Amino acid sequence: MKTYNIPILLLLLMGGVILLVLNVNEPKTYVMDVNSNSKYPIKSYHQELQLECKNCHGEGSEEDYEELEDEQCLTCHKSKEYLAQRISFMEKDKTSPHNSYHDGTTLSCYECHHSHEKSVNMCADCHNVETWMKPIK
Amino acid sequence: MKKTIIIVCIGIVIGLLVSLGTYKGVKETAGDKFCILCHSMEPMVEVYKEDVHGGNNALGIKAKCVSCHLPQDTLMNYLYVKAKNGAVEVAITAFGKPENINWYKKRAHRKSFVYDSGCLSCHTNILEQTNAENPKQLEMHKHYESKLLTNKKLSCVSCHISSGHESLRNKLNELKPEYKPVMNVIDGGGH
Repeated sequence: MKTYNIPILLLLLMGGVILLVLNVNEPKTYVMDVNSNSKYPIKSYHQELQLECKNCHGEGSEEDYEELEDEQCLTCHKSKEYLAQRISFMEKDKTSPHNSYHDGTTLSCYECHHSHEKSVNMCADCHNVETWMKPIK
Repeated sequence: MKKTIIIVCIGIVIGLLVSLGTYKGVKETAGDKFCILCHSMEPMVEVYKEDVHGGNNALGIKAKCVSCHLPQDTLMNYLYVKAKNGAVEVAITAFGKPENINWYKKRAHRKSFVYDSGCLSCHTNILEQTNAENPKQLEMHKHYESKLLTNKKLSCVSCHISSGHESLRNKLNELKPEYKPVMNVIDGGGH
């Protein structure tokens, strides 16, 4: 390495260290408007996208809102096969809930996921799943 | 006078050489071949190559790493973030412990290292589209647009979580599993 390059490299490294210390590369966070008192609170990941009722339930009157069909969830979440593919690493141990040992990819979203209340883990009805997966959001 | 002309000519030649050097440097450090020089980037590059953005498409078109991971709005911003990231990453590789980075957590911060200006410089008409196979796409892109001028701006990767590295979570699990191996799940693991 040519000697005149060394000060430049040192400066670059020092700059990097300073930036690391200042942590300027960390993401900015913002506080979400969480309306937990709502009759139909939504999950944090949907809040983060600032989804409104109409985004899932359509433009109709709120009184007419109905529970969604799986197909409606999948207009955003693509397909059950796609969701299974995203966690295919779990298939090695036959623990993938999206490509279940018992039901394949046929389970209804609602078996585990509930948009307006606490989700449940259906696998936990029969299995000790604590080491298999995180709590379902 | 003659001396001034010589100095100006030398200046132009030096200027051109510096510009060429900068251009070459910026270009050569833009793609996966350079990024993979850091061992810690290997899983990301590996799954990128399997992804539609990494050339796994009918035409073999590839988005470069910097197409998404550097801002594409202004040249100054591009060069500033490139220099800043370069310095931080050299420092981490030289003094830090890149093997201890929790990539699962990093993925949750994707908004800080994937730039909408990058996505939109290729997907140029995505927000003006009026027809789509899935109408939900149009609705959600309008939703994105409606938040652009607010202080709660969304990012492309707010929804398109794993774009560019579709099977990254699977790859990371090969290297550092999220869960302990499950023994005998089927044969007696249940209770």
